[in-house]
Amino acid sequence: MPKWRVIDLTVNTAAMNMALDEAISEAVGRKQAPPTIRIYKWLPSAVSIGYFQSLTDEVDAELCKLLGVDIVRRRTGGGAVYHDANGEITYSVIAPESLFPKGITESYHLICGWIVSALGKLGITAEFKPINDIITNGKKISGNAQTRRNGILLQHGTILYKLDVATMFSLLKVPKEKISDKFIADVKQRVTSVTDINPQITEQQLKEALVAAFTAGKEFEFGAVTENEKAAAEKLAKERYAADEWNFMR
Amino acid sequence: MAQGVHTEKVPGGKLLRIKVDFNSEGGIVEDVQMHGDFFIHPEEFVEDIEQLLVNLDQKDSEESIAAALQRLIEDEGAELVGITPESIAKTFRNALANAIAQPVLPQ
Repeated sequence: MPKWRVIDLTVNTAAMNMALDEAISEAVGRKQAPPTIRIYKWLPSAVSIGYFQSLTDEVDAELCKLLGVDIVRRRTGGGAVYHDANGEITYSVIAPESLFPKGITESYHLICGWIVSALGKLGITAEFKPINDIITNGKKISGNAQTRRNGILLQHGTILYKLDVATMFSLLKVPKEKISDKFIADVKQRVTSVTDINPQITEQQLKEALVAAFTAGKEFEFGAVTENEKAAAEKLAKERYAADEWNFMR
Repeated sequence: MAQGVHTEKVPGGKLLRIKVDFNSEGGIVEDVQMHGDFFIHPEEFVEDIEQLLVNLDQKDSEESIAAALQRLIEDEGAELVGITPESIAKTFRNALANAIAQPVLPQ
């Protein structure tokens, strides 16, 4: 059984977060790094969009700039996510495909099961909802996205800790006239967060529950990004994830 | 140049929006872009799909477009999640129809 590396909570820019996921994937692919679990946050707050989304269709880029919110296109498909600096925790799982079910849905189910288990530890009953969501009481609390490249599976996802619906939907393009009190009430029928369910749960407790659930049954040790990974990530951040050419590609 | 757009929520799947740039004078599809929150593995395969849609005969039926997409997917060993060949064919057809219906503005 492989020994996993757990890179505990780090806080990075959007470009660096996406670059680290890619640089680590490459290192794992070259067998220079063990399978890795990362827990991270975004500073400044950021919007990430799916690989196939149109940035201009999905994001109010001018408002993001005005508010100092980063924008980044992910390597993974899926939807637009608002990563509030204090409102969510992101994870990534980076490992050889051979450690996971071959089917995409089955592997989502497996990794999302770890999140369901983490939420369970906090007293929140949640379930995996195909294709790539986790819901509790019918409301979305986590979104996830996966890619596979050169035999390496990368899945990252967000677990909502505290919702700021007004900010979220001022940055994501919903016709402004729709952002009424009723719209916000409607969104709250569909999306929830850890603190909506139990305001007593701290972000630290959520993070610890995630680490515990993700590592359950695995041999692992806490570790850091290597110098090589960091250097590769800094290059990728600069040349790709912070570049308009990539972010406005579609 | 006219642009047609059609957006479809794939039943049980994801949002798919296709934009078609149509040269009305030449009757030629010049560009096709697929957007949405779906997944394609590998991701770059989306360009192969877009290219197929640019090149196909505009008279092709939805069924034959879907079949051509299915063959391409199998040949390349690609995988679609949240969208299907049928939903792509349907959305493309509607986007193209919207583009063709655009009034041609005087130059």
